[in-house]
Amino acid sequence: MDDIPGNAGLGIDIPVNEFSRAIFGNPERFEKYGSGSDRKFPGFEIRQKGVLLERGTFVITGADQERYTGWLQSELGVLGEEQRDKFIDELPWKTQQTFVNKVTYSQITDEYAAPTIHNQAFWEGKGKQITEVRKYQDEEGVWQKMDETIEYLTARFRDNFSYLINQREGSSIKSTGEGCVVSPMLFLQYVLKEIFRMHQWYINRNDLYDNIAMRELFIYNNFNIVRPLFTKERVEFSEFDREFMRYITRELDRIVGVSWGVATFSYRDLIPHVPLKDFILGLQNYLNYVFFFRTDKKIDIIDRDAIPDSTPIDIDSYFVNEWIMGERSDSRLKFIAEVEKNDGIQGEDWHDLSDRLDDFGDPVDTYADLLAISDPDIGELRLVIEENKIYEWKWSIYIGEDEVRREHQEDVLRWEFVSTGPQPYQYGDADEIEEIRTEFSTLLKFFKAFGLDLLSIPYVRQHGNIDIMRSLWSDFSPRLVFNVSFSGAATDELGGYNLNWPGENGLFEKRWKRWSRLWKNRLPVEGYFDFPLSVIDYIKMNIHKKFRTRHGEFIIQEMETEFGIEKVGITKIKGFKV
Amino acid sequence: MAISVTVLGGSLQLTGNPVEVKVSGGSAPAGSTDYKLLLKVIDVDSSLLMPPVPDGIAPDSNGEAIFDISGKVDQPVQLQFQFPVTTSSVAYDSLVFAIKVQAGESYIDSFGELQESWGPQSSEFHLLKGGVSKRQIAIWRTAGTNFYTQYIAAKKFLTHRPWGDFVHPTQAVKLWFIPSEATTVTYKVRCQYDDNTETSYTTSVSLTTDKIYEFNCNPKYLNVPLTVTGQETGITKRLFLFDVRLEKDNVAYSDEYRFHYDWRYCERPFFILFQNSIGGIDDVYLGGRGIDKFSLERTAVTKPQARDARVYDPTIITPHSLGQNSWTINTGYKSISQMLHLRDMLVSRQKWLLYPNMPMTVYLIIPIIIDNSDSLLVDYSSDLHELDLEISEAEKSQFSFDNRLAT
Repeated sequence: MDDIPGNAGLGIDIPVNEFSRAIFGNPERFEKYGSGSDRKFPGFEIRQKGVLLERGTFVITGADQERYTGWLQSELGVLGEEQRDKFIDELPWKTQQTFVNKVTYSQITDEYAAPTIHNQAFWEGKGKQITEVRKYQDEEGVWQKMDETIEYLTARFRDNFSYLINQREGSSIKSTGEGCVVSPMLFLQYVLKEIFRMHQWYINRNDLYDNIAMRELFIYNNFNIVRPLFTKERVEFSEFDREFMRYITRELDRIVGVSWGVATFSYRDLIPHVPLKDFILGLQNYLNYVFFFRTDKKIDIIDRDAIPDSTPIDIDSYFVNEWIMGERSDSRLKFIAEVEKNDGIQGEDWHDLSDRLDDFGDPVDTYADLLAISDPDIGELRLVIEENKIYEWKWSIYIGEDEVRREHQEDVLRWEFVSTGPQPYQYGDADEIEEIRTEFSTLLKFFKAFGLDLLSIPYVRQHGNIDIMRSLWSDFSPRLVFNVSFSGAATDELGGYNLNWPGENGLFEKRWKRWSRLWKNRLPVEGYFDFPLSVIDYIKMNIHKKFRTRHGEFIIQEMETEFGIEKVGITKIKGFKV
Repeated sequence: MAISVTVLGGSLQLTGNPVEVKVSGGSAPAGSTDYKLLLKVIDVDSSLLMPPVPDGIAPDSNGEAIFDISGKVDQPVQLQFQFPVTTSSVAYDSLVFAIKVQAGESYIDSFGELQESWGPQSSEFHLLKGGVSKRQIAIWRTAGTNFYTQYIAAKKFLTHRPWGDFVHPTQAVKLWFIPSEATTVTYKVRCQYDDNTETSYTTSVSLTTDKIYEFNCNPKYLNVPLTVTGQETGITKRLFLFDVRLEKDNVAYSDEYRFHYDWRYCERPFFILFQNSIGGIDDVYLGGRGIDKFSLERTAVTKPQARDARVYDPTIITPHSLGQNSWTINTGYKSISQMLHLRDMLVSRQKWLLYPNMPMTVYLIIPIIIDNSDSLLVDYSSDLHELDLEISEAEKSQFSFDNRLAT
């Protein structure tokens, strides 16, 4: 769960002769100079009897007069090394893209969606501020007025667009006007395809796409492609220069008009700033689809949750000796999704309460339902689903204020907010905790008119990004939402799949239950097999599947075989019993 | 130009040697990178575990790529043969793999997208478990020939056993054959007695190219009398030799093999059958001294004496005890060619000992390993040649078997 395993060819010795010297150069060159490029030779293949065992870069670790010693780094290893310390938004994404403005988007025909999203905080901290008068009712019910400072663009965003990003109007999305926010959001399938294509890897099998709901996932971002378009004129200004003690003339571009409109944009601004490894691993640990990197530079995206119930491949006839059993693990799985700290819906008010699982009561739908709970226990925790907030019934201090801010305190028992949700999902009762971490999460608050996903609008409170204000850039974490095809809606639940962990349609029940049952109490096993070369090749290409011998079924974690001239050694397989 | 595929080496080949397929006709489109010729191996009769991934090789300067698919198709087979012998011939389709190949090409186009296309599938060809040495391959290559030409097209039996081999009168003598075309032949065993009279056994056999055929050659099992006593003369003649071949329209279709009966008394004949290098199963008669042995592998642990221990209860127990049958059996005196034929037996990875019960009425088939690692086969300064074979049963068991049972 913490790594993406790759193949390697270890302990390779190549004799020094006129053939190998022509490729690798003289061995003493390594001793004398020993630079990285000296010792790495891409495009190498290990084949035996025509079967391609591995392809990658041959790395020479030592050389003397008799032999070159090294190992073969697989193409996946090469990819990992290339991408170390790099981020996926730094890849050569498309630039100068023109926004395709339409009402509905589909992953079949489009690279991005443009769902309607409510974000009151988009323009916070940007541009000039104005003072508005707000009305309030005092203790006697009399309407009073008070001044409130607000960003000018926030006010325009509120007044003209109701705080809605990608607001629809007729057959298109509103894309002009002060405070307008238009954010295209790339489909996950497109992002995956492109990330790999840029490294000359290609997706072959795609269980993620085969899932009708999962293929509609897009990646949320907070980038606005609408920007002010300035009309300017060059004018001369006269001013007194105190250094030279005389009037001088300056030429400046004076803004004579501002209009807001959609500009061309680059996809890199729509991509979260995360390393490739964290992106792939995070996706695996969120949706439980694993990426299997093949020797032919193709990738199979495999539904890992389907493996425990799949038909096993029988390799009993090759089994030799006896199984060696390890120590069975007994752990509690804790699924931890990174909280988007920049989203006020969740943000800085999130606290890990997973060590207080026993204090949690059943969640309630609304705050009114919370208040309706009779006789709660002191310390009881409850999640209010509508607000995505967790409250604790506790001894608290009520502090009230009058209009001149005089305080009044009382000791009370009441429900007090302790954290936003959701909490890490946990499976099992064991004391030992095994964490499954992911960078991925989803948006947390949705307004669904009539409860319909077709009319669902997500809510966020997150500062936005705009091209001309990169100094105020606010990163966003990878968050996935379902696009509702042929609508402008975005939802956390589609086709019976919910992107939150709990619940009968939640990620755990739908994506993790079968695998977790196996993983929580996995029993490590080790066995030896006398495979012919062709079967090694077959198993290598199907290593993600379930296998069986007469003793039972197992999944493979690692397999190791020693090859020699005209010799294929016994294969050692480490795995877990199913 | 369209991609074309050519299977080199004939329509039946041995999986232990390179099985080469040439793909040609490809060329990289302008602006493309990473151009490769592809080859997919298709298991027609689903008898192989095949990875679902095609292989790709960049073409050489002639636009061709040679793929060796032997590693993909060389898989163990569950060998079998008929014993006891009940029929003159048996056909096996499970020992022959039917394969097709399909060529294609792939490249990354100027937009960075992977493009793959495939040509038509080849016609079906067959593979047999086995192989010949590198030296033999080199000899054939130099002569411009190959296994298919030398054995299949030439209609030879699949064996390297010597012509004129001496066999025991009760030996299950076998020859194996794969035809180059579907046809009907006459299986003929010509038997010659020591008074130069003859008799023959013939039967018609239909052959197809997707099967391998086992021919049981010993006239004893073809209901040919091995000894005949003249009613008038009272003289008994014995069958001296027999020639085996396949005929078509009374003309030799296959090559011909001669066997001589070794009528010398042997108190307890043993036989070894083994998978030979080129797909058949040969048989060897061991007419020399035989020694039965037994080795034991066990662990012993101490067990404290219990308070209620009786006189029958041990304080040293053997939780693990495995026995293995082994034998030292001499080949008996053999000719030079017979001794050299033993090399195929020694290197073979599947061998069986036919072990007689006490009354010698039934033979048991026992999978074995031969432990000889350094064997003197022929000393040319000597006229007599024999070898002690150190044989172990290919099983360790905590149970023995009673050889004195009737069946």
